[in-house]
Parts: sequence; structure tokens; C-alpha cells
Amino acid sequence: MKQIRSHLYILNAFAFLTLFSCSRTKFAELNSNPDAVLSIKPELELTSGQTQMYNNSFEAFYDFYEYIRPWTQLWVGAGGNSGSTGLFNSVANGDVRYNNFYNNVGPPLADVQHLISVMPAAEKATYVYLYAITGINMAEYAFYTSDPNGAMPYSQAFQARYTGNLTPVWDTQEAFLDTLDSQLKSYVATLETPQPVAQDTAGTNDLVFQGSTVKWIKAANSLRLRIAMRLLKQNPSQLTTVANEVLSDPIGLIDNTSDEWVFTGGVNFEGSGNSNQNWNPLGQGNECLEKHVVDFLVSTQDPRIRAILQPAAINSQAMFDSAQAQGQIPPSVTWNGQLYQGQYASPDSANAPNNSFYLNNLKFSFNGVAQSVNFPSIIQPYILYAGYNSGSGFNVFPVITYADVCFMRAELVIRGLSNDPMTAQQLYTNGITASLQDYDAWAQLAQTPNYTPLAAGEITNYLSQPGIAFQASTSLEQVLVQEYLNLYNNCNEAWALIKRTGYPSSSGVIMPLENITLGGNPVLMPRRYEPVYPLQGDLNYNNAVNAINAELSLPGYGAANDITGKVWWDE
Amino acid sequence: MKKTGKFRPAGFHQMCMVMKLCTLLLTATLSQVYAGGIAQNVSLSGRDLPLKKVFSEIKRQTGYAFFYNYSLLKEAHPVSLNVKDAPLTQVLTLCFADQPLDYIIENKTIVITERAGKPLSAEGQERRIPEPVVIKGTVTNDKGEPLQGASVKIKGAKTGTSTDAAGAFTLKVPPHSTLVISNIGYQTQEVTVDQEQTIKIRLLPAPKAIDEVVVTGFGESRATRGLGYSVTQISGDQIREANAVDPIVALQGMVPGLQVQPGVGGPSASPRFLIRGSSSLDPYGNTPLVVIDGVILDNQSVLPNKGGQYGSSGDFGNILKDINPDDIESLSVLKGGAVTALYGSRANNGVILIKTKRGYIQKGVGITFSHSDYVDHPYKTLDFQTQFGSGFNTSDFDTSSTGQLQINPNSYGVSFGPKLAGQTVLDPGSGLPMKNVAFNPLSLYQNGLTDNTNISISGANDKTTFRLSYSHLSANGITPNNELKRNSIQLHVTDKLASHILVDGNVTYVQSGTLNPALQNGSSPLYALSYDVATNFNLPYWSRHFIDSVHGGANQSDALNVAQGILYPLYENRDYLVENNFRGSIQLTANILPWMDLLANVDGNLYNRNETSDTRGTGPGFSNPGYSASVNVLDQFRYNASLYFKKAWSKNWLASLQTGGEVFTSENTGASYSTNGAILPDIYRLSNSKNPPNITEASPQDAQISSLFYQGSLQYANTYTLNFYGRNDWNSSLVYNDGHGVYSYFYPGADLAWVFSDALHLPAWINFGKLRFSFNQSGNGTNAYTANTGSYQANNPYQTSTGSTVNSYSYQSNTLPNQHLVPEKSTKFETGLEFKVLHSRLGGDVTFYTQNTKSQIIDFTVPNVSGVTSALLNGGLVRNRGIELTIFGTPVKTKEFNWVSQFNYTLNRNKVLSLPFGVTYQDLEDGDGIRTIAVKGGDYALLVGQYAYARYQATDGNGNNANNPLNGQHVITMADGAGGTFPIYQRALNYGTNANTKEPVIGSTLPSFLGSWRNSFNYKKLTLSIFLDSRLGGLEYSPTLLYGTQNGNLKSSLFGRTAALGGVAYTPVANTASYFGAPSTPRQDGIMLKGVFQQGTMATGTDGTSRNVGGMTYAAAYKNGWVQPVDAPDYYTATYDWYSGIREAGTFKSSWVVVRDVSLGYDLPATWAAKSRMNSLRATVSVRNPLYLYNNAKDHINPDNQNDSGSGGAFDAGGIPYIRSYGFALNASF
Repeated sequence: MKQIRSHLYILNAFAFLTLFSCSRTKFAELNSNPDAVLSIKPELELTSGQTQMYNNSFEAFYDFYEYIRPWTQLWVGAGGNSGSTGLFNSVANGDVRYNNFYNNVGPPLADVQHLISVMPAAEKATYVYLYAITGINMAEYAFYTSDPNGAMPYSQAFQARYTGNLTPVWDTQEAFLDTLDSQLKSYVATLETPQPVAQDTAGTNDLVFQGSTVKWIKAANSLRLRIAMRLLKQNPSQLTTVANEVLSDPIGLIDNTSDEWVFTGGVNFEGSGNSNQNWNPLGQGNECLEKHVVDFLVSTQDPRIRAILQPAAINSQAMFDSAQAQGQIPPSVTWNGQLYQGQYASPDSANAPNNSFYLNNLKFSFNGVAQSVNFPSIIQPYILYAGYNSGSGFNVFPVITYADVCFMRAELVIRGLSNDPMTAQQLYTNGITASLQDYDAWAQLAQTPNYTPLAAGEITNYLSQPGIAFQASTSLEQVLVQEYLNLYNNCNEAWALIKRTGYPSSSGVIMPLENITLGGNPVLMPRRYEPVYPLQGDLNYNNAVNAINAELSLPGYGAANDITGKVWWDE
Repeated sequence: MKKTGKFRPAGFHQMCMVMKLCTLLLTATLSQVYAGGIAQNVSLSGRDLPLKKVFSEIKRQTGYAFFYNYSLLKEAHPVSLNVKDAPLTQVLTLCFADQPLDYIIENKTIVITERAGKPLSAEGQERRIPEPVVIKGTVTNDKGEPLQGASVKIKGAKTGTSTDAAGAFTLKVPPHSTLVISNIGYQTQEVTVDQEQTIKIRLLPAPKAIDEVVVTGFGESRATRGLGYSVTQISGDQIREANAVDPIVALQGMVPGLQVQPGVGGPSASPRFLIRGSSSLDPYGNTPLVVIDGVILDNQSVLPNKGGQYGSSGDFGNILKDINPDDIESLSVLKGGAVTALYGSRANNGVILIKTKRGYIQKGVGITFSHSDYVDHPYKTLDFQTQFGSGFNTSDFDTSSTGQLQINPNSYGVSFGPKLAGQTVLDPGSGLPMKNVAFNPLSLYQNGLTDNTNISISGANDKTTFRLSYSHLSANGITPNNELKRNSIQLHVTDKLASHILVDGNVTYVQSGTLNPALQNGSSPLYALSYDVATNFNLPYWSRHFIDSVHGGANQSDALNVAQGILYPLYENRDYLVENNFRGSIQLTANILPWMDLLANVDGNLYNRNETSDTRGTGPGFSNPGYSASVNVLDQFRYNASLYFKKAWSKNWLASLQTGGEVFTSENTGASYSTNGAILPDIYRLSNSKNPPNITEASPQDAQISSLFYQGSLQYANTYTLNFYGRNDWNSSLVYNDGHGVYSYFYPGADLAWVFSDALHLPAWINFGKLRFSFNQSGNGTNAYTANTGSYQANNPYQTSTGSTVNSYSYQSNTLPNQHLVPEKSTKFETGLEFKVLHSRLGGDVTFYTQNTKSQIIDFTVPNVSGVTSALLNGGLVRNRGIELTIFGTPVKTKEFNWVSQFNYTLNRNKVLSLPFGVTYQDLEDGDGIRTIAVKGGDYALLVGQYAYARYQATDGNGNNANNPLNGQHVITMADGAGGTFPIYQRALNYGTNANTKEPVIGSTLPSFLGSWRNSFNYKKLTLSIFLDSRLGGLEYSPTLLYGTQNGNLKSSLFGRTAALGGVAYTPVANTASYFGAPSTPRQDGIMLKGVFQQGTMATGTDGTSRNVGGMTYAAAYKNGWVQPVDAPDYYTATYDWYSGIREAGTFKSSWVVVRDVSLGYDLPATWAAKSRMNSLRATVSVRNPLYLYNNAKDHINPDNQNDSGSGGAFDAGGIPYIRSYGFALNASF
């Protein structure tokens, strides 16, 4: 009987369990992820969007290291560009920014603005500035994405969560850049308008400016100027209009290095050691700088060379002689005495007789020690990847620096496209000064080993060097060359500079680059990405294909897969 | 900030009421049942028991009270009893034999009285219970061989026993009993015994094997004749014969309708297995449910291997490797929908039901010992070419500064170079001289050895059976440092708690440790040796010198990065997984009334995984090591109780009904952590982290399904059986956080079995025939939390450069939430015919089925420009329709020799009938410019590619498509090379004009059919079995093949390299070019493309003139001298490379016929065994996968090389060599 009773207990207990084990309340609780949060303050998402703007290691690996740096001759591989020109024909796995914008950057930023827009009026009133600040971030990344991509969805993008629109149409690049300009203009106006209630501007959740409205106003004005500069070919008069607007703005443009739009990565932002080799600029092999650039940096005693390049391995006449005696360097070559050496970027230069020692690993014995070295200098990895070799410094991700603004303004003055109160030379000098100070600061921040900081007098010395000292006759090229050098850490803008101005150029007189040829035929620099063809079954197939077809009808765009074609602003 | 809504939608209250009522009703019924169900049988045993004690025990067992005068008992003497489940009156008679006492039963009271007259002696006639007699016997088959497990029962009683391995039994029975001896497949015999004796029973085979029994449903055995759906049962012995660590792998080719593909990671690897195709559009949602003794293993423990194309870590496998084949009694594959009523929606993909062994009655305690060893011998890789070494062309040697012949460092890594003639050349990396020969990729692999030892002890008496089993398995894989160790202990006890209550308890504990499963993708040696190296890479040297012997760390001087990137990790890294799996179940069957049982069970599956990964530092001094670890704990419990009613109304009518409820709970917690930079080399602890370590905690994935269910059957004349089922689930995964959601769903089913051979008057040669029909529905929920998509989650705190911490949040996923999910619904129909003819020498089973799954809860891909990348949708309809056929027979049968043969055939057509929301494609797996998709109106897993060959389409003057005999041929265009252009195949993306032509269908990845043929030849005590297995069709894509061909390392890249190898002689003219900038001297390595030039293509002819060859075939243009051949290195590089190549060229149809298994077994003579005091001894030698009779794979890629267990997998990722396993097994029982 006792047993049976115990069975009864089991059964009753079971019945009880069934009865109470399927209540909705209990199930709702079970099915709610304890890590899930249903509502958040908008500034918490601003941080997410901002980190996603800078932390994409695939973009570093593919777009920056594999493509844009070699295309713009900011880099040349230690093996040169010999053999083939595949590097200039393909952008496979590139254009990471496109999906990064739509998958990672846009959604949180759009959500910040959405959360603010649906707030009760009283709360909403405290977020007026944050709405604008978020919009400036969004505009910058949108511009950055469109820059080599042309038309893309923007005005109807990111609406799936709010309106259910899964099929946004594309905006043409022209319309798109106009939209960005007017948005930025209105954000500046908002931020310059005093608000009746105290504003929550995100504080430390704003990783760039910690909620400083003044800095965001300067950043937005500077971004307007950068976007307008892209109109140099298509619409110079609009460029002038925008330039004069931002110059006359009460707060104006970025006017010192501490107000620069430069994102400083936090602890281990790019990982270290083995954790993320994508950021490691030497992860795919040794990289060098182009020979003419290095020769220019050496001859002008540019202090920035210490931040971006390691000294060459062959650093004495005796060592050079050893390598030569052991057949590693042709007998006809003499040592130029430079502590830094560049690399040939043109396949034909590399293939020229007697140049192969630039490309090969040189194996020889010096003072009884076996050497296995490259003749050209290898780039300094730390300023791009402070985690190199377990380093514990920090990296910067410059968006718009004070130097950038100075050089843009100087260019406009020289071209006569603005009413700038300053002279081109003043701006040029300020730009160089800011740039040298920036690179010095960045190299120190990255804890670059054996780095010698900028010494007193070095800037003055540099400004007096031939090719650097401002000369009216070569001023435009000088400004553009300096902007190019200044953009070493921001290769997308260096690429845009070449597309926009043609400088630095192989026909230049200040710092002529190599003429890149293969078999005597010019090798063209790619200028844009391939349009993203929708896959089978894409719900937005028609909008995407219509947009691509419209792009294809632009005169300079070329065939879809011809990456030497041009997007609208570049034509 | 977290909110859980209290909102209750209308209808909730009513639903709760209904549930409460159901429960109340059930409780009331059960309680009543108990009131009336007091048992009157008694079990008692003991020597010299005082009567008082006997009475109290009888009272306890029966509830009958005793009434007596104490002084009476003084006269009584103690009694010795040994009764089991005996009627009360019988026990009382035994007690009062030879006593001066008598008794009367009034109501429920037993009144003891003084005996009037002489006490009845034990020999008394009236109430005498005769002393039982001991019967010993042996049961053999018609050939005199002992039958193990034959049932010996006393007619009219419930007691009985079964025979041991020697066919022997011992049973105490009342004199003049009739013994009923039965065994499956044999005619039942009855023998009457009078006194103690030893009998020999020879059972004759059943003329019609109509009493076959299979394990189904909740693990109960049912006669197949009453089943209306298809079941295939495999014996434990058949599984053990396959010598597989994982019992599912052993099923390859054995069961029609079941597709099994072993994994490639080594002994631990996850097999891919599917029953009747894929019904869910989630490619990882199609795993059948595995149930072991009631313990459910679902896809939270039978984890899929999501290797995809880019993941590089090895496959550690899942819980299946923690199932010890030594303990398996039988394994049933339940393919149809009927089981969903019992196991719920998770059984939607079919059930594999494993029943473990239990003890049986035999002399004393039985011991069995088995030991098996098998050697995995890697005997072949994909076909590498061995004729040409590194270089761009056949004269591409370099001379070192010392004048020695050297592999040209500038073209190192592409194998189109000079002939390999064994000359001495300098290795470009080490600078050391080496012999110029091709490397042997097999040299990286080793023979694997697996040994498995099992000891089990079992025994039983008529109350209790037990079996305790311990197994130790140790396996070394064929890749270096790959190991699996498994210790498994199982105790299975059944006990009759009381005459009417049977408890079946089972606990299993398994610990397994897996070290370094074979790495795949970029880290796979075979992939790397195809892609990243040259044929004359000095593998022998670098596989000994991958460590920098001076500074420590990886040797960086290998120019091809194989030493650093492949060999160093292969030998120096340590990835280790320890799994602890505890499975337990207690099942209770109480026979409450003759026609009613109560069944209750509690099952638990506790599974934890502890993984550590030690990545040795590659820097100087082994600096920068990496360490990561994760723990994962899965706890799943199932509580089930039901009532089982069975009633025979008349001779012909039999009905049964089972109804009950079930609660299933699941929780899966876990955490992972890793170092963030390292301080010291070779220390793999968080304490060695330079920066604060990374730590993440997984969500618990709580889920619960509560259910009420019924299943019943109605049988007439043992000929017509109607089975019916129904189940209602309340599924937590469909409840939103505010409490709304359609979370309750009911699904019914029914099947019918008709043994027409009994019902109709058929010719005598037809021994058995049965028709069956089955119709079922089932519902399904989704994963935990999926319904509540759309919330935010904290990101890892951000640490700024100034040391402050910033918190942030973002959406948990980029999936658009859906607040209106409804349960998925599957409908399955099946019909089949089973027959046996010609004295059962020939038989078969043919099944036709169709099953539709709709309202699937799936993340559909949507355009990411909308701000989300997928949308949670509820729709789609997937159909599987197919035929399963089994034919078996005994073609030859003589006294000493027979040949038994079985042929299985599986055909499944897996179609997508509709997709929701206007979607036409659903992504299954993708990457590398080629992907598998489910296409609306098409196959479930079609291979499509933007980087497929463009298909030619002629156009008319207006640009409209025009008919043309050349349409559909591959398109050829010109590529830029050094100094001009050369012809290459065009990619579809660059040619097509719409979605279909820009990403054309390459073909289906699903096999057209699977077939297998098993033969067993028995001669006296020798058994030889031969097992062939085959598959026809189904595309696979292999990057190993593609890139290995691009770099000239595989055999198929030999064609055209020299005149002897089919190359065309030509002299390149100006303005033609090559990718490698080949010299313009006469050459012998021209290759002609096959296809049509793209419209508007300009080609340079042999006369140096450029012409428009658009619309011409290559052959025609060549004939006119308007185009030149392409030199072989350029042809392979351009066609197969990653940037511009054709992925389709890396696909092949995976069709093969393999000799799966050959084994030879020998039963050592009984006399021999007896001498060594054994009951039996059997030795088996076998070889698994000895050879492929036919293999369509290009360059003989191993057809088993898929590195993904999902339904969309069709991708090789390097894989492993072909393995032939030689096995030896010894089984002894004592």
C-alpha cells in the first residue's frame, strides 16, 4: 500500500507539474533571454555605432593593406609589383565599408535617432544635440561609404525596424552628397542654437569628443568642406558656396590639433599578439614605401619618416660592400648612403636590369654573421598596429585633422575658390606644423620602439628645405604633396586626393611618383569599387539593378567590373 | 530596464481552465484506479519465518488484515516460503500446511482458527501446494545451435526465464507444468514436465516470420504486423561489426531512407545524418532525434558541425561519440510521423531509438568480454601530380650566387616548372640542397589505432535483472596528435518491486577526451598542400624544421609559409575537449488492473563540454601564446506519466489506449574565456593574460514543452490494426515576453496495417503480406528566445586609452522581429507493402512517402540596406517525397551453407514548394562565390554561383535573346596579361543580364539515389559478409580541387603541359599575352578553350591582326587562325584562380560505389570454448572501406570529405586521406 501511495504521490506531483508548468507567465519568463534588455538610453547605442566605424579588421586587411595602399603607392610589397598586375585588376573581398555601413554602423546610429524621435516631448527636448551629433557620425560614414561606391540607398535606408521598408531605393551620388550637406548644415545650426533645457550629449559614451558640441560643430563644418571639395570637377561653384559658408560660420572649422576628428582606439582595440593578425600590416609579408617618396622624405629631412618607416637593414658602406661582394647586389650599383630606402612600384622598374636586389631577400654574411634582409626599408608597423609584437600602445584613426583642414583651405585659396581670410602660405605652414606634430604624437601614443621624438627646431628646419619651402609657382603641388604625406594614416583620403587632383603625379616637379607600367603599357590605378550585384532572390533586386544600370550609363563609369572607371564626383 | 509584461490576451483564462480540467480528470481517474486495484498476489521468501512476520508482510502487500487469538500462534511453527507473485490463498495454504490452524476469509479479513482434526500434512491433497521441481534445459535451433535469449515460460503463469548464451536455462516449476518455449523467428513449442529433469528443446524456424518484433514508440516492443509505418531495426551486433566509435556512423548504408556521412575530423567527428531528406529550411534543423532508453538527445547535444567554408577549427563532434556501441541491444530507425505523437515535435525529422542491453537469467553471474582493435590506414589522398616542380614554365630554374641550381624564388609555389628528375636543387627557404622530387602528402599522416575493451557482468533472478558494463576506448586518429579516449560505464537494472510493479533503471556515465581533431579549411594540410605549395616543396625537411631551432618559435624562413602556418600549428597546438555525459532514466510500469498499466518515467541527460585551446607562441622564444577555453553545461529532463489500457473483448478484438502527459525541460548554460595578449611563453592559463582576459557568458537557453498525448490501437483478428495518435504541446519557445503567442498546438495521426495474407486466400507460396498506410501531423516551435528577437544586449565594456570604461548596447541581432509567430506544421503520409514469399526465402518492404512542412520559422535573408539582414518569417513549404525499398532473401540454402542477401534502395526528392513574403531563394550555406540555396519551386539544396561559367546567349539586332545552337555553351572573353590579352572563361556575373543568368544554377547537391547491398555467406561456423554501398549524383564543390588545379599541384592540371600530355604547339605572336608573362618562343603547351566568344570580343590572330570573334566558337576561331591557344600555366591559373576563375570548375558529381565492409567471423568450436570454461568464443577479422569500385570525384577527392553536417553542406575543406580500417575482434562469454 505504501508503494502504491508513493506512486499516487508521483502521479499527483506530475499532474501538478503539468498543470503549472505551462502557464504563459512562466513560459514568457523562460523564453526571455536574461541578457536581453527591452529599452535603452540612446547614447548607449551611439558608442556601438562609433566603435563599428573604426574597428573593422577585414577592411584593414583587404581594403587598406591589400588594395588602397598599394594602388596609391603609399605602399609597395617587399617583392615589388613584379610578375603581374593582378593587384590592380581586382578588389575581391574589398569594399568592406559597404556592408559595414548597412550591417554595423548605420543601424545603431539610425536607432539612436529613432529612439529620440519617439520619446515623450520632455525627454526628447534633452536630446536635441545628441540627435545632431549622431547624425554627424552617420553622415561621415555614409559619405565615406559612397565615396568610391557612387549611388547607394540612404534616404530610405535603415527603415525596416520602423516602417517595415525592406526595399529602399538608391540615391544617386549627386543627390546623396547634397542631402549630406544639407543635413550637416542643419545639424550645425541645431548645435549652435541654445536649448531651453540641459542637454544630454552622451558624455563619455561619445568616444570621439565626449559630447563636446563645439568640437562636433567644427567637425561637421570640416566634413562639409571635405564633401564639397569632392565637387571640384562636377560643381566648383557649389564648392565655393559651401567653403565660404563654413569659413564664415561663428564656430567654424577645426582650428587646432586637439579639436581634430581623430578616433583614438582604446585598450586592445585592434587586438594584440596572435589575437587579430588582420590589423598587422606585416601580417601578409613585408611592406615598403615607394622609392620616390622615400627619397623625397630623406632629402627633405622629414621627421615623419621615423614614425612610418624602419631604417634599412643595410645601413653602412661596409655592409653594402659585403652584400655586393657576395653577389647579392650587382657590381655597378653604388650605395646612396641613405638610412631609409624605398621600393620600386612599377613592374617595369622592378624588372629593369640590376634592380632585382630591391625585390629579393638578400642572403650574405657580414662580419661573420649571416644576414637575410631586404634592401628597402620595411614600414613601421606600430603606428598602424600598436599591438604588434604584443605592444601595448594605442592607435589613432584620423578622420579629419587640423592639417587636413589647412591643406584643403590652402588648396582653395590657391585655386581662387574661397574667401579665406588666411593666405595659402600661412595655411600651408600651419598644415605642415600640425602634421609633423600629429605624427610625432601618434608614434609616441603607439609606443613605437626606439622612436626618437620630434626635436625642437625640426619643424623650422623642415619648412626651409627645398621642395618644402613655400613657392608660389609650385604651391598647388606642394600643398597636395603635403596633404598626400599627411594622409599616410588615412589612405582612403589619399586615394581620393589622387582621384580628385591627380597629385602626387609622375609628371610632378616636387615629388614625382613612378610611372607604373607593365611591358611599357600604363597600369591604371583603380578608382572605385565594383557595384554590389544583388544575388538571386534578393527582395530589392529591381531597385538595385536599376541603380546599377543608371551608374553604368554615366559616361566615365565604365563596365561594371572595370574598377578603373569613375563614380559621379570623380568624372 | 528589463521588463516582462503581465499582459494576458483573451483566451488565456479559458485555456488554463481546459488544462486544469484535463489534469483534474487524469488525477481523479488514476486515484480511482488505485482504490480498486489492490493486489491480491504475494511475493515472499525466507527460511523459518515466524507466522506473525508472514502475516504482517501479507498485510503489507495485500491490505488484508489478520484476526486471530495470540495463544493459537504459540502452537504454530515457523515456515519456509519462496513464492513469487502467488495468489493469496495459495500462500496461506503453504503457511498452514502441517499447522494446527486453519483460516477463513471474510471480506478483507483473514480469521485464523484452530484446526478441527488432524492438521493437513504437506502431502495433503486438498490445499497442497506441490514442491516445485527444478527443470534444466537447453534450447537449440533446428541445426542444434544454442539459442540465446529464448523465452521459457510456465503456461498460465507469469513466471519464466530466458536462455543464456549457451542456450541453457534453469527454472523452478510446479510439477505437471507446461513450459512454453518461444523465440523470435521460431515456432513456439510446449513441453509438459512432471519431475526434475533435463530437457532438450529444438525450435523449428517459423514458417512465416509473422511474429517479428521491433522496438518502437516509447521503447516498447511491438509486433511489426500491427505497425502502420516503416521501422528498420538494426541489432547491436551489426553496429559493433562496423568498428565505429560513433554508432550513427555504423548505420551508413544500412537503413533505407537514412543518409549517413561520417565526419572528417577523426574518430570524434560529427556525422551528417538525415532521415527522408531535409524538411526545415534551417539547414541545421534537420537532425533526427536520438533516444536512448528514453533519454532524448536533441540538437542541443547532437550538435551540428557548422564547418561551413571558412571556419578552421577541427570538429570535436557531439554527444553521439558518448554512446557506447558495446551497450546497444538494438537500434530502431523510426522514419514516419507516428513517433511525433510520442516524442513531440522534436521527432519531426525521425527518431533513432536505441535500447541498451539488460541482464538475463543464467547460471550464476554471466561475464562477457570483448576486445577489438582496428587500424585506420590512410592509403590515398586526392591525386597530386608528381611530374613537374615549382616554376612558371618548364625551364624556370634559378641559379644561386654560388652557381647551384635553385628553385626560382620568384615563382616558388606554382607547380608548372621544370620536370622533377631528382636533381639536386637548393630550397629557396632554407638554402639547403634537396633532391628535386615530389613530396608525398601521405607522409604527414599516420596509421590510427583504435582499441576497445568491454567487460560486462550480468545476471538475474526472477525478480531482478542487472547488467553492469564498462568500456574503455582509445583511438589515435590518422592526423598527428589526434586522439580520442572514452570511458563508459553503464548499469541497467530491472526490478519487480512488487508483483505488479516493474522498475527499469538505467544510468550511464561517459567521459571522453578529444585531442586535436583534424583541422579543415585553410589549416588543413591537404588543402594547404594543394593550394599553397609547389610539388617539390621539401616536406620531409620542413616537417622536421618548423621550429626556429635558434630562437624558438616558428621557423619563419619557409617562403611558402607552410612550416609556420600549417606544420607548426599541426604539431605544436593543443585543442582539447573533455565531455562528461550522465544519462539516467527510471521507468516504472505498474500493472494496476489486469487491463490497465500505469507508466511513469523520469529521464535526464546531463552533458557538459570543457574545451581548451592552447596555441603555442610563434614568436621568438615561443612568445605570444594564445589560450582560450569554454565550458558548456546542458541539462535536459523529461517527466512522463501515462495510463495504458488494454482489453481483449473477444477472441478477435483487441484494443489499447495510452494517455498521459509529459514535461520536457532544457537548460544550456556556458561561458568562454580567453587570454588577451600573453606574458610568458608556454603557459596556458588566464593568469598569463597580459591584458584583462575576455570573458563571455552564454544565455541559458531555457525551454520547456509540456504535453498531453494519447496513442491507441484497435486490432481485429490480428489482421487489421488501426493505430491512432494525438498530442498537444505547450511550447515555451512560442511565448513572447509579454505573454502573448500561439504556443499550444495539437497534432493527430493514424495508421492502418492490414495483413492481407491472413485475410485473403492467397497461393501457398505467399507466406506473408501486409499493406500499411499512415497519416500524421506534427507541430513545432522554434529555438529558445527566437520569438523574442529584437531586444538589446550589452556589448563588452569599452576601455578607452585613458583607462576609463564605457558601456554600450546594441541590438542582439540584425534580424527583424516578428510578433505573430505560429507553430510550424508538418504533414506526413506513408504507404508501404511488406511481403515474404517462397517459404520466406524472398521478402521485401517497399515504402512510398510524402511529407510537407509548412509555416517554418526561419530567418529569411533580406536586403541589408533596409537596416536588418534577415527577417523572422513564418512560412514556406518544403516537400520530401520518396521511395524506400528493401529486398532480402536467401538465394542459397543447404545444410551447411547459406547465402543471405539484402538490397536497400533510397530515393528522395526534396523540393521547396513555396517561400513566404515573395522570397524566391533561401540561403543555406555560402561563401567563395558559390552557395547552396533552397529555391522556390526547385530543389532544397541547389548549387548556384555568380562565379559559375557564363552560359552563352545569342541576341538579335535589337538585343533580344535569339535562338542559336550555340546557346548554353561556356562564354570566352579576353583577359589582360603581360603585353596584351589572352582568352579566358567568362564568369556568369560579368555576362548575365538577370538574376538567373548572373548566378546560374550549377546543379543539385542532393543525391539521385542511394543503394546498398549486403551479403552474408555462412558455412558451418564461418561467416563472410560483404557490404557494398553506393550513391549516385549530387554536386560537391571543392576549393581544394580548384586551387590545387590553379597552382598546378593536382593531376588534372597535367593535361596540355607538353606535347606528350596533349599540349598544342604554337608560337605566341605579339599583342597576345599571358598572366605569367611567358616568353614568346615556340611552345608545346597550348590549350584550347571550349566555348563561344562573348559578343564583341577582340582577339589577336596568328597573323597579329586583331578581329572581332564575338559569337564564334573557340574551335572555329582557332581554325581560322584568329585566336591562339593559351599556354597551360595561364590556362589553369586563369580558369581556377580565386580572383577571376570559375568556381564551377571546382565542382563534381559525387557518385561512387564502395566496398563498405568485408568481414570474416569464426565461432570457435564449442568444445574448445568449453575447455577454456567459456560459453562461447567468436573471432572476427574485418576490413572497412577497403576500396572504391567506382568514384566519380575529380582527382579522386575523398567523397567523405564534407566538413559540415548541415543540409546545405556540399563543400570539401581539405578533408582527410582515404582510410581503410583493418579490424580484429574477440568476443567471449563466460
